[in-house]
Amino acid sequence: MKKVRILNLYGEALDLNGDGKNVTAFEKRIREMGYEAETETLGVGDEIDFPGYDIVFLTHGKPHNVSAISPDFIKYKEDIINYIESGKVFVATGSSNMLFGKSFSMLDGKTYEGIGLFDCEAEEFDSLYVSDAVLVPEFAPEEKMFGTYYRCESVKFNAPNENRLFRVLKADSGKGSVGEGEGCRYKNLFATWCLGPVLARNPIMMKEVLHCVLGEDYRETDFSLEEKAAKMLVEGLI
Amino acid sequence: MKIKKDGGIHYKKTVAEKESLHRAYRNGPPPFNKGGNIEKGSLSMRLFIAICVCRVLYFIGRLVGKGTAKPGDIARMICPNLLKKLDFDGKIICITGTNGKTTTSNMVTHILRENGFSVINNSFGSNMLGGITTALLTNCTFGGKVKADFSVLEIDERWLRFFVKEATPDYVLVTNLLRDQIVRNCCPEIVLEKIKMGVTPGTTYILNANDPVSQQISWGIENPVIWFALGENERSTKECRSGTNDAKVCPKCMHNLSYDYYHYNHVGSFRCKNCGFESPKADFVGHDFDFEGGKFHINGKETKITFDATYFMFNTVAAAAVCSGAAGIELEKVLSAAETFDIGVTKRYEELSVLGRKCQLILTKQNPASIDQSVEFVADKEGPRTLIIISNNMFHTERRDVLFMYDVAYENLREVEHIVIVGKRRYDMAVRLKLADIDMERVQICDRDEELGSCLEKTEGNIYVMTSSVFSNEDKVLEELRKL
Repeated sequence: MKKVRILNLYGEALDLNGDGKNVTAFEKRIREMGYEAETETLGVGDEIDFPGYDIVFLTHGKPHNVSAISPDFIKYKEDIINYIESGKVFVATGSSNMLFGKSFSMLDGKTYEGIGLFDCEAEEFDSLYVSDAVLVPEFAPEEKMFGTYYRCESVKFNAPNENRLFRVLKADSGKGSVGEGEGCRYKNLFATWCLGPVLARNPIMMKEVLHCVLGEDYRETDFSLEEKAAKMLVEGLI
Repeated sequence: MKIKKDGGIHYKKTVAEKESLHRAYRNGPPPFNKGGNIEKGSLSMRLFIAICVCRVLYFIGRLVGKGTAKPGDIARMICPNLLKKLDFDGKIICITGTNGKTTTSNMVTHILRENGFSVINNSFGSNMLGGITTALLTNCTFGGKVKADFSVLEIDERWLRFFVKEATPDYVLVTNLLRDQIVRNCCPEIVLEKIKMGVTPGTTYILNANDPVSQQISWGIENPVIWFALGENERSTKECRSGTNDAKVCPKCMHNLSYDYYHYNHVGSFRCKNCGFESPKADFVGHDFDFEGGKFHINGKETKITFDATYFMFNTVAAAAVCSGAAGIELEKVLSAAETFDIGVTKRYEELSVLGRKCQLILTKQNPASIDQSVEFVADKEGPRTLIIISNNMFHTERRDVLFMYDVAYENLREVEHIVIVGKRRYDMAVRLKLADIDMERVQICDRDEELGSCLEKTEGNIYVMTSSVFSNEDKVLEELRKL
């Protein structure tokens, strides 16, 4: 039986607003397809062998925790970049996005190093941007999905983000707002500041990630309940 | 959408505008202090007028059933920094934290009064500066003398730092810090920072030794600290049973935090094997629980369990720490008074008769910790059970981002025989329950409130309704229930 190896990276330190349930939802789908799913949650101080995994999740966390784990994260800079460049799947949600730029500055006045995969910087600010959003995924431009943003940090790309993940159809304005486009899709890295159960309640994105991990081994499963819930969410907003 | 600019409640605010208001309040109270430099002579007159206006407005408000914050807010506009000008005869005890502050504040007040002390408290209303000001001004002399042995003030955890700019508390009790109202608070550590901004010299802190988040208030301060805790008991668990755990990692070194046992969420006995961070030794400990006999002990003294819930026993130990540790009352007298405290269970767990079956409402706050406790409450009941979950948009903002349902351990409902979901977010809740491996054959999605009766007819056993201020159509659903 095919086995899918899942890494929930810093899953204990970065687990805010239900983000961890993306991993649970992904595991469940893999099992429903008749495959085996094996998840490891590793954190600061653990030895991590990135090539051994089929998918890595890096979820949203408290600002303090993101900055606190960053020295450990950049220890694996080369490994992570090689993993992503090899086309393997990496899903990053919420504040963990800060770790992929050159650096990020926090309210404590300190600047922390990122792995520099993207030409961007991030900063924490002393207010909270909150918005429901309707998003059009670039990988399925005929579809719409629901997103939620709660953030007191944002990423600023130093050059146009040609690899954006979503076109933002509807979201609130204000300090920290996401603008017209949000997220980044680079090879099979899905990086978005959408947080919470992004995969768990958006079948479109879940299917795309499953396709990327499984390729031809992808099998159909029943998404009817999730699709109905997602449709009601989106229709209520537009 | 039009905005009603009448100074009253803006029913037609857009979501963005409501958020903007929330954000404004996150950054502090409205700018009342615009009086500039006021000469001393005019101060007492301003204070006098403020007290008079506050009392008149409070009296009128009581007659028409309005809130208690406005009279205090207006008094503060008349007399800026008003609390600074009050002359406190007795001690000020502030009680804050995520959950349990109202109950603990009322219990402390009750215990102190039972022991012959005069006490002012703000149990009747708002726990922000306006409500606190109203409570104090309606109980002081016209010269601004607060004649009470104790002012026991329940205060919102984000507002303590503003209160201390005008008055220095003698004691601050922090019940716990849990994930709550993420739109305003983001995470408990943000609230922790706000409480730490309000640390004042001369204040004694009474902190929860079982809570690794609020424990951090003691870091880097010189203030005396009194610790309270609950010991391990038959309800403690080795694994976290709740959906939310905000202390999976050590706040000092980010390595995994080990727990000897959990009470709920991240509250329990913990230690970090990497850096040595651990639960401090408590000064007041609840121990030797006899749930069947309805008693437990605090520091060796027996007391009755007057309401059988872990969080209530925490409140009792915290109240004992305040009244005995801080106010100096003998522990026996404290516990004797605590035994006569009425939590007001009937309001929190109101019972109805629906279709000839017992139906119990379970009120929860809008945070996952509170909902987790409601889930466990139902899970622990004997079957057959029918649970109605009212799932709707966020109460204040009508936002659809009901993420908190993914922080609740609905997995604990797997044994519940029947579940009926109603409300605007019913399908989102169904998705969440499916993810929690609930047998969906047991779940009915009620598309119209009016169909609730026919859904319930297909179920059996006692009915439990999880209802909360999060859910905006709860009254409509309850109305339907009362008809059955």
